[in-house]
Amino acid sequence: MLPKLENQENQALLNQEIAGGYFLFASLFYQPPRQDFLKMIIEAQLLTQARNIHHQGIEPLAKSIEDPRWLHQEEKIAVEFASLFVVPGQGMITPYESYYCDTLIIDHSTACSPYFQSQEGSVGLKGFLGGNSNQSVQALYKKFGFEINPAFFDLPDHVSAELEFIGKLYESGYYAEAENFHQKHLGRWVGLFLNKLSGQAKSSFYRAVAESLQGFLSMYDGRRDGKCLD
Amino acid sequence: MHPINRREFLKLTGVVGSGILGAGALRPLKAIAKEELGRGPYDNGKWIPSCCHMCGGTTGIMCQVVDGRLVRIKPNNHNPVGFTNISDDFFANADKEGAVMCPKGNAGIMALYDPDRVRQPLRRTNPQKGIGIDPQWKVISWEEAYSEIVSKLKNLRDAGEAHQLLWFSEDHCFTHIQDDFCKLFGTPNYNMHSNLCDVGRKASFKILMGDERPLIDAINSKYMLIFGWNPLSATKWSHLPRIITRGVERGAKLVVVDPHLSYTASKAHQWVPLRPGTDGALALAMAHVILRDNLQDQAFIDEWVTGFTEFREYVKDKTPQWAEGITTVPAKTIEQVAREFASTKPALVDVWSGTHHTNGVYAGWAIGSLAVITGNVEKPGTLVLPDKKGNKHIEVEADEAAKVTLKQPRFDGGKDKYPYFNKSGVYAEIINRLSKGGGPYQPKMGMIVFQNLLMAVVGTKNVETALRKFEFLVVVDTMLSETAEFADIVIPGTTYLERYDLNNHWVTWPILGLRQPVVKPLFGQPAEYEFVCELGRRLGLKEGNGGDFFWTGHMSHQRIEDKTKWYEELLSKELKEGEPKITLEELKALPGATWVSKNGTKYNKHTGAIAPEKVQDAFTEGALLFSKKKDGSKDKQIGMLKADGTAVRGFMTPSGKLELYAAKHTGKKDANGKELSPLPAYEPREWQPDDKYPLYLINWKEASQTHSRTQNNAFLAEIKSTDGLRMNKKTAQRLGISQHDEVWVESPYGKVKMKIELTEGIHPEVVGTQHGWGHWALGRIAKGRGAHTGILAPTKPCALSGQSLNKEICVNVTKA
Repeated sequence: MLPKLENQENQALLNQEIAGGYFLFASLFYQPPRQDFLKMIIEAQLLTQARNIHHQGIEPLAKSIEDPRWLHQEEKIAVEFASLFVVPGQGMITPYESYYCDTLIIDHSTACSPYFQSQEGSVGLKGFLGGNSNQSVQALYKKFGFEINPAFFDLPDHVSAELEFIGKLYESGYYAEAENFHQKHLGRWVGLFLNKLSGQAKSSFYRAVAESLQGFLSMYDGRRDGKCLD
Repeated sequence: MHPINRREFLKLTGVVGSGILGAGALRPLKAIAKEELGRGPYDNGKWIPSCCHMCGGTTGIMCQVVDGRLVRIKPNNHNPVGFTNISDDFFANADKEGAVMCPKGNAGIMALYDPDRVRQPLRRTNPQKGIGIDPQWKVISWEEAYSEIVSKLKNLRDAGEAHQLLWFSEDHCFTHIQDDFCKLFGTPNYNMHSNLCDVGRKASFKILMGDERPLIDAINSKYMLIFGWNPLSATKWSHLPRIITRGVERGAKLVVVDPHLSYTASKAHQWVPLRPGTDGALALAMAHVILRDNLQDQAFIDEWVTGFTEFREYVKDKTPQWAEGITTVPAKTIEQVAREFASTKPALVDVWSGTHHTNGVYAGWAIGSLAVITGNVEKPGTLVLPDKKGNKHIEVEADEAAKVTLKQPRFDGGKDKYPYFNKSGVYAEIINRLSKGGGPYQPKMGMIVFQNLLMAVVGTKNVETALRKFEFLVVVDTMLSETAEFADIVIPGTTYLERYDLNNHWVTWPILGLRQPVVKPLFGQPAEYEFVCELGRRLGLKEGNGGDFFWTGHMSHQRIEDKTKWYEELLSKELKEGEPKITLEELKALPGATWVSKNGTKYNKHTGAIAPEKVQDAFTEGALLFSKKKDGSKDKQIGMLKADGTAVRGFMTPSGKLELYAAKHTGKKDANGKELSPLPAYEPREWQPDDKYPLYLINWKEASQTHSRTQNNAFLAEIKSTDGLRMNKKTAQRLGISQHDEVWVESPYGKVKMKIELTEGIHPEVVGTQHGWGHWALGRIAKGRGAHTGILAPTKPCALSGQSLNKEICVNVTKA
């Protein structure tokens, strides 16, 4: 549940903080952090701060999860970013909603091969890109005045785009819409995504990113339309 | 380090959000042009005609796109490739029956939406290269990728070493622009997939008929004799199953000669299993029977064939008994098939990748000779030479700097080394020279576009060594293939559903299908032609006349910034100057975006008269007629003068006739320095089984996969997820091997573990498997399924054609 504060000014401030948190995580999945950004994360304890924004779902951490050694690991973190989110292979954690949530129905009416004719009815298949979710979030971006930046070179249902979009909604005061988007889209799969990230990340950096984002999103615990592919 | 308060957090994350890291994933919508607002191009769903490229067959397809998302692919009835290869059948029946496509066509959606696609340019951070070595990729921007690649290319060119760039490309997609780039850049080393496919067959038919690619007119045939080819299933044109089964429905007999009971063989009236590499001997013995029993078409031979006397003399001792000892095919079967073939009219005979062995070119020539001596050429129901008119590749002229390096010899030795060299190059020679040294120079840079050399060229360890020799290697691909793992930079490619191509051939009369983007490139990446164009622009490559090839619109002659528009004009130019004589937009507007010549299939083209004015204007050499170049010198062969003085087209051979005896071979040598045979000689293939490696290992293709590139496709994996080693039950019994046993398959070059599939449908001396499995990369589905048998073979080219010899392997099989 979203935290509600009595003081309106405080509420507005909190919502701006939430927007900032989304932007922070969107940036972390957009590309590997450069040194200046790493420095900022470490010095200002941004991950710990973001994790601790809401106290309802999770106990605030008393100790910072940032590690000063990250500052000297820019290249290593960049290589891990590629292996976790970009390079196809067993180690990749696919960062798209469609991959987790959409089912592709194979229409046998056009099947011309005996291979397909033996099966009855429609067959569903999961684990692909560019599904309905992709179209759906793109339409919502458009509705609220956004489109995918050509410099992004990626799909609309990428985790970075969905995080950034919710941040934009908070920033613009569309709190209910932000919560709705989380429930209908990001919230359905981001938990699976982050669990995998926690399990597969070799560096403490991406484990910390996973943990802090899980904490940050804890306000939504139990509030989503359905869980997607395991 | 200090914890910050809420306002400080806001300030910092606000900085992040406003773009300290560059642009974010989203931008305000107002940046979109007004006309794009509110309605995507496919909001209401749209069917877009295009051409498949799940294999090189280029079948016509219709793609249903809803809200910018491809949801369904079905056959395109307007494109003959999915229906038939003769025009009267197409014009009469296509509307009624509809076209078809293979399972791979249906599965194209998953090629587009494969979660394992390469999405961003990658640069390796680990300088060590090898199988199993993690390149430790790092994502780089497109700008970084272009800058680095162009810088390396520029250094080569500035040093006068442009020829040290080796370029490899897939076929049936954007080949012209890559060829043009190589020419303008100054490297003679452009290579293309065909060398791995059918250049052996091309050489056979070039010798015999002067045409590299005759096609079977199966529908009209009464007897089909197929050697070492699986046209009902293997990677090729999707009309093949229909025309062959239609021929059978109309009464044709289908006979398949193959060591393996392929899908085609399983549907045949007769399967003739033989030892691998002995098909030439079998064909010669059939010729012996035909001539011994006087079943030849003497009138046709007298008029259109040269070297008959020498050929008849040569096959005199090639008796069925002689061939039985070589092929294991019973003499009585040889007699039966030969007599049936010769006495049934019309009949056809063909061969494809059965020629991937050291006697392959001569074997293909011998097989084709059966058609020639029975007069089964250029008639309905026989082997027909296609009328290959389509778009025109506009030749570019290199500038002075490029001309210098273009004069360097090809790295693979080219036509100086291989008498039937094909412009697609000699992959095996390139790999050998790279890995072992040798050749006129050592190339420094490689550009591999949509090719997976480690899986496609046998001799895996050798290929690995070769790839390591490049100082700088770029791979452009949709998938992170085994070869891509050796790249210094990987560029994300586009699928055929995201780009343009012009597709012709594969039927007997002129047609041309358009492949066009049905969705935008998924990750905003440029199509390959745009990537090549960008390289050309950044390098400032010019034509010989100073023209800006990569900047100037080829129709408008104006400078064009937008590379897609620039390429669209180039395609328009190729269409306008080619046979269709229409623009790209006009092609798009045609039904099924397919141009179909109304002239239709023409038979007996060799008898066609040459117009008197052409004869008068021709350059004459003996009985042959040639067109003239501007300076009056000899250009292309256009026809011949018959004994009675009439001018006809004839065949494009040195005699103008079909050649059972190639006089031009006299005094010529192959790549190994061996004298060329003027006759289609049978010689045992070089690698024969012995005590240590007693079994032949072959591989084949099936409809479920294309080569080694589709194994990560989730749809196709549902059809068939791997392949085992097929072994004859009797052989297994002798070796103490049971069904589904794990076995080691071992050759002097390595060993792989496979699972046994027992069958009676394979020659007892042979084991075999479907090609393409055994990936250790490519994607999460492909990885670890089946075995890659390329590791068991040497890297070896055919000494005549340069064809990569992928099927000449002997192995030992033991229980694991």
